Amino acid sequence: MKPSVVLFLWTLILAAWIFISANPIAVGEQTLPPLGTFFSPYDGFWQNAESDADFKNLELNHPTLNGKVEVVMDDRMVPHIFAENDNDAAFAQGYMHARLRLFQLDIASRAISGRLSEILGSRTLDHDKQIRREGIVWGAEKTLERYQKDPESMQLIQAYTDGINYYIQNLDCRQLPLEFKLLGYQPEEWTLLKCVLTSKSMARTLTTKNYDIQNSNLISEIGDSLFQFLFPHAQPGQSPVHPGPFNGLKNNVLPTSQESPVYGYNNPFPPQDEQQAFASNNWAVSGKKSTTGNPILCNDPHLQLTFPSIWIENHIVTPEKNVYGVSLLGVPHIIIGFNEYIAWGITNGGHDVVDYLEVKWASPDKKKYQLDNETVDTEFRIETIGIKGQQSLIDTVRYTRWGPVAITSEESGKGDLVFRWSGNDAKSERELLTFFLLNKAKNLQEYLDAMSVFPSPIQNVVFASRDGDIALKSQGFWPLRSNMSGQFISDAAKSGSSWLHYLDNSQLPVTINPERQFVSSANQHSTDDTYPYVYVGVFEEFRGRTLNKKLEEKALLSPLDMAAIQNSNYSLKAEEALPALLLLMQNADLTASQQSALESLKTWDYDYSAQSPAPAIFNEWFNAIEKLTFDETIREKPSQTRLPDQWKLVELINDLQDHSVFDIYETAGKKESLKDIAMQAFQKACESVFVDSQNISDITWNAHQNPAINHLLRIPALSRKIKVGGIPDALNAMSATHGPSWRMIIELTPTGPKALGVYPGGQSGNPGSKYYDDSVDTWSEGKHHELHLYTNAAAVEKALFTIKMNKL
Amino acid sequence: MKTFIAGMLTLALCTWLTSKYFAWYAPVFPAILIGYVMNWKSGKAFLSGFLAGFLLYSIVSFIIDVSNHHILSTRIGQLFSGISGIVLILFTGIIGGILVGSSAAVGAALKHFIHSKR
Repeated sequence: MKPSVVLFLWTLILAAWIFISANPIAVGEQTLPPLGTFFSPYDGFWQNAESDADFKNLELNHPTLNGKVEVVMDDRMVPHIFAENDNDAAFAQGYMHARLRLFQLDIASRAISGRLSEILGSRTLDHDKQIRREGIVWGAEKTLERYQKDPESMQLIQAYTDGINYYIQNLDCRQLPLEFKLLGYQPEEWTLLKCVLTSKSMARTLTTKNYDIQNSNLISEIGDSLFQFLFPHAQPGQSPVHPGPFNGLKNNVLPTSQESPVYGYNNPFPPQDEQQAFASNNWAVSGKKSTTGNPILCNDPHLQLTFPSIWIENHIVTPEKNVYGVSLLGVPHIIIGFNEYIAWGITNGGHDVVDYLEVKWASPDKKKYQLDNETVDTEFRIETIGIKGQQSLIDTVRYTRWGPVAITSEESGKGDLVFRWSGNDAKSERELLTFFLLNKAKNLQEYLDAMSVFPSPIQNVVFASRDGDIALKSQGFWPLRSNMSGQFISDAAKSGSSWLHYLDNSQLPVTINPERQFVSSANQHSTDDTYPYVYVGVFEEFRGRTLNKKLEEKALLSPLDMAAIQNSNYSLKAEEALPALLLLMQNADLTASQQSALESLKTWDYDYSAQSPAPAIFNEWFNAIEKLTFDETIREKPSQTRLPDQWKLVELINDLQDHSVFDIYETAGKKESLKDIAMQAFQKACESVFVDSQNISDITWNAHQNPAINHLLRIPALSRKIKVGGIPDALNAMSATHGPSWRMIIELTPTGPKALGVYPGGQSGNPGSKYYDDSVDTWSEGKHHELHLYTNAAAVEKALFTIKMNKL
Repeated sequence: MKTFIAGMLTLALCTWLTSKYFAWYAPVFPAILIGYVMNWKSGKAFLSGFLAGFLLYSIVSFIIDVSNHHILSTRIGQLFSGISGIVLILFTGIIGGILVGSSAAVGAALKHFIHSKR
């Protein structure tokens, strides 16, 4: 062969190999990272394989710092930050959050600003579009503008931002987190706006479960009478967060009349996942109800379980505080935790703080709209949504005084719908200081003072102090509603259609040192009907009733009892529904496997334990009954309507077995009762459960529910199945994807706290680190880690390495 | 044989040095040079370069993998259809081998081409 040909061929091979190695490779719907960079032991994923040799002491200097900081990493990779002032502590916290979770910071800020498609392509376009339409960035910009009037807030988030950016700027591209290498992009500079945006991210998660569109469709479908029957404001026999009565408060709002809204809307956004189960428990018992004589406080917020975890553990010591707990990525301070004097924990209020309103345009070009008797100019915001590998999408979003038009008339099939959300409002420039103040609070009054500036969403914040006080305040932006408005799409042209104000601090419900010697919350209704201010929302009553029952039934409770309560898989719903259902199955004609399923239910203790078959059968049975019972509500467009709360079905099962709601809509001429439905549903349940085997001993709840902790990018290789029991209505509120994201038990002794805590994950966001998932087994077994408030760097036990930070 | 081994070790050394301090494709340049300097046919140059790149990439990734207790290789293996850590290391070696081998072959072929012109 001619030398020229040989040279040409080898050059071609080399060029082709470099091209292949430098570019992502599409395989079906998946895209593989560039082979050359990804597999190079010097640049690629191998560099993310962490070893003990990586745990080296480090020293850095930065002009933001005013003093010296020492960060000691313990044997679970928890940073213990010892700083001479609060700003330096915030810098160190930002630096450590970036060091441990940079990809999570980046993707979280992209998700909440509608910029995921820039790195993930068109598959996240609907999400980005929804975020832009909801005006989240617009709201965050307004909020930041307001916060900038408070120098103390700004200094803290500036220092936190500087800490993150220092890490990014000094990051060797070879040490980029694995996910950046997989997706082929670089981290961006962190900003103050991103701090505000990520603080709103949790607010959005917890408050945008809204049924205005579904309710509007439903009431037109089933009529007002059945709607009111199936969706009453409150459950009889509920056990609210604040027992009341609230005789001292008066409603000063005049009811306004509402015109009947029109119905039949499409919702273009993805339907809400009913299994999401954003739930939480918290409670505190006084010294009089504790075996140790000291107050004990517990909290387990139930959120999506992910790798990395939504939480990160931190310990921060400054001359003014010594505080330990978990933080959210993107904002400084401790969100749930304890210091030497107090402990606090949070559950979601569940209040509806979103309204959809239909706009009445005053001009065909939609440049003006009507509000009361005025014609108001529409404002416009051009949203450019970048899409990886494609041309950007331009979306012009119209803004009214209520907020942005989130759903256009083309999408809804009717009018343009405005999205009104409390999270887009800011009341005080000091809102960001809530947790800063709470972190250093020493007593009940300082807790209440810190709470007074807490913004959206409405949260139940439990408190206990070593002084012996316990308290629980429901705090946040609580809309002052004139009537039950907020349940349906209403008329944007009338200012009385949505809330105009929020309740004052003095009007919010609070319980302090009650006679029953405990305070508690588990996402149930906040108050009984003596509370004068109307509110609507999505509440879970079974768990709250279970928790209060467990706290009441024992005179004295120990820390061990608290752990047992947190890990309890007992279902009150099952106990209240199953006996009546089993009576209906007497003399039923069943196959051998169906008979074995029925027998397992007869001996079931209502505990959703991982290895038991009965929970799988009951769960499928109950869900099948629910679908057959409420077929009227979901027959047209399942994703555009909703099911009643489950307590309503339990009430019907026990008290109203011949109610017309049990009649199956499609079988005209035949009237079914609960008994007919129960049999049909049982057969369906058995079909769902006996898939791979007809033998009941092969069935387990865990295998059926199949819970997992998924990586943020939902990559199975970076995710993990978990062997746990539980169900959202039990105290151990597990679903397939959500569960107790942090379990904490704090006993406030006179000499300081005895603290336990664990979350399902690990401190490191790096899948190549042993600290990526090292706490999962401890958490799965229902155990906790001991948490310590070390007073100085030298006292930290089992230290791995130290990072010293100095003023430049 | 001695020349072959010496050339291969030189290629491995240069690949190691350039990879350590420059981008992943940097070993291309010294490998072309070495392929040119050595009096190899292009096939032999490829073999020498391939072995150098393969051994270097796989030994380095093996050392990293052992000190990482196979945590990451197990996860990345699952990402690529469930392959084992050892297969992942061999695959890494092949990536390095082709890069260095084809570069050395280009160097050798270039030399033959220039000589043929003279």
